[in-house]
Amino acid sequence: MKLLYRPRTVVTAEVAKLIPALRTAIRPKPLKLSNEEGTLGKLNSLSRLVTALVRDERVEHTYSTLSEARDYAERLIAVAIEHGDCHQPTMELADFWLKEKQLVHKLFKVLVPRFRDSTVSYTKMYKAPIAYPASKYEGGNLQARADLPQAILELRNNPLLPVLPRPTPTRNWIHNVLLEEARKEYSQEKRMGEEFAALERMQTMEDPGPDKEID
Amino acid sequence: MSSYLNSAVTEHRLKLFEKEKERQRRLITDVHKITVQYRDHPEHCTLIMNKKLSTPYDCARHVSQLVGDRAVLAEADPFYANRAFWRSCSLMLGSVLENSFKSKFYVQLCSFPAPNVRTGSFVYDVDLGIDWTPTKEELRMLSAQMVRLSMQKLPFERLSVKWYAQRLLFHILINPSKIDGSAGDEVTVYRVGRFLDMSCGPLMANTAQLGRVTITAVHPLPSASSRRLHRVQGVALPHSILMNHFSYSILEKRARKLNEGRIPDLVAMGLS
Repeated sequence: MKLLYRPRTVVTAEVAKLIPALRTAIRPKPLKLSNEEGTLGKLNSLSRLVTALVRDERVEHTYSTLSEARDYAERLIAVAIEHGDCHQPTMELADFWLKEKQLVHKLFKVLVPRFRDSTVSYTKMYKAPIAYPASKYEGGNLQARADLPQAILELRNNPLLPVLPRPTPTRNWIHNVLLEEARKEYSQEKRMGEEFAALERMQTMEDPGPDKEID
Repeated sequence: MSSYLNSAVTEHRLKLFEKEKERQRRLITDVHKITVQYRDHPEHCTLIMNKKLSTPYDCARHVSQLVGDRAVLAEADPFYANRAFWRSCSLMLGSVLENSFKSKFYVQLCSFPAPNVRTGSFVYDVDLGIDWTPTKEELRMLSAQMVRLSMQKLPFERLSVKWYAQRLLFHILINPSKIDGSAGDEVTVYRVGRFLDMSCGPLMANTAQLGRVTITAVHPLPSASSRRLHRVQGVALPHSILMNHFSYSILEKRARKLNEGRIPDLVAMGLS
């Protein structure tokens, strides 16, 4: 078999010790977010989103861009929890991603204590509706993203009102009560049938009967 | 075969019910206003209603037509709403049973046990005067009668009556098994269409709130007296709840088994 690509040197074991694992799904390929200013321009536009997320705790943008910004925000919080505020590379990272410097204090003093014992991801993402008709021109600027899939990204345990309404508990609704009782009765009958069969089997083993002969 | 006719008994009861209702209405000579606070969907509001005349159903209709049509009870706990629905189903089943047989059969309704949704079926115990094992088609016909009753969109009308009035309504000679020893107490009588029955209530507002319904089985009950009761059972869902036919068939299958609710003791009631 001929390999199309040469496998890279495996360094995951060492890297895993250095960098805390992300708790969100990682896309197989990076997104091609085109920007006039190249890669740095792309990172700068993402950092504006990360800054807005840390400042407002909830941002709204296109799904693809937000899902990319989400990974960087997750990484930033995870590293901040891991190393704290006396670690030079972490401070440099925070300095790059947070364009407003007072947010560096918020990261270490508010977000790190909030998420230190968390076992799930630090952010949460929702799909948002596209507002039709999508106006492409808003305040004289071309809004090329207006008719793309929209999303909402938020930090968990934020003080804002929840995005989704609290679900109404339906456990005690009449159809669920009826189905739950039917399920209970079915499993009880099944268990009793099994016990009865086992009892019968034991009895036949103990008492093979006088007229049963082995050829 | 009895010499009584169900239609004649219904007529007699209805006349007495109307008379008693008119008498009670005349007792209220002046109308006082009361304020009612409503705190729920679609908006909080304060209503000005009539004392001793307005019902929670009237309040609901003032709030919104949708609330009036859909609310089963003025109570937020689904447990009580389920019970009220089950009780209403039993009452509607009583109405169907009284009106579905040919006039040569005199159907005497006995009672239904306290509604319990967990048993999987609502019940009415009835003295049919015959030993009856219904066919599938006959059961389906009873179910169709229930559907017809719900399509008529009849309101459940409530009336509290004293013992003597109730004695007139359910005449001791005509329907003895409806009488128990609660002399002197006020009892609640419900009317749906032309049918009258006693029930402690509460019931839902309208028969239109009944959705899918199946009368599943008729079981003869063991009895120490010479009269034999049959337990008619069914299962139903409210109009607003839709269910997949497979899931519903599970409920139907379970509702065919004999409901374990309390069996009325005719001997203790002094009827044998």
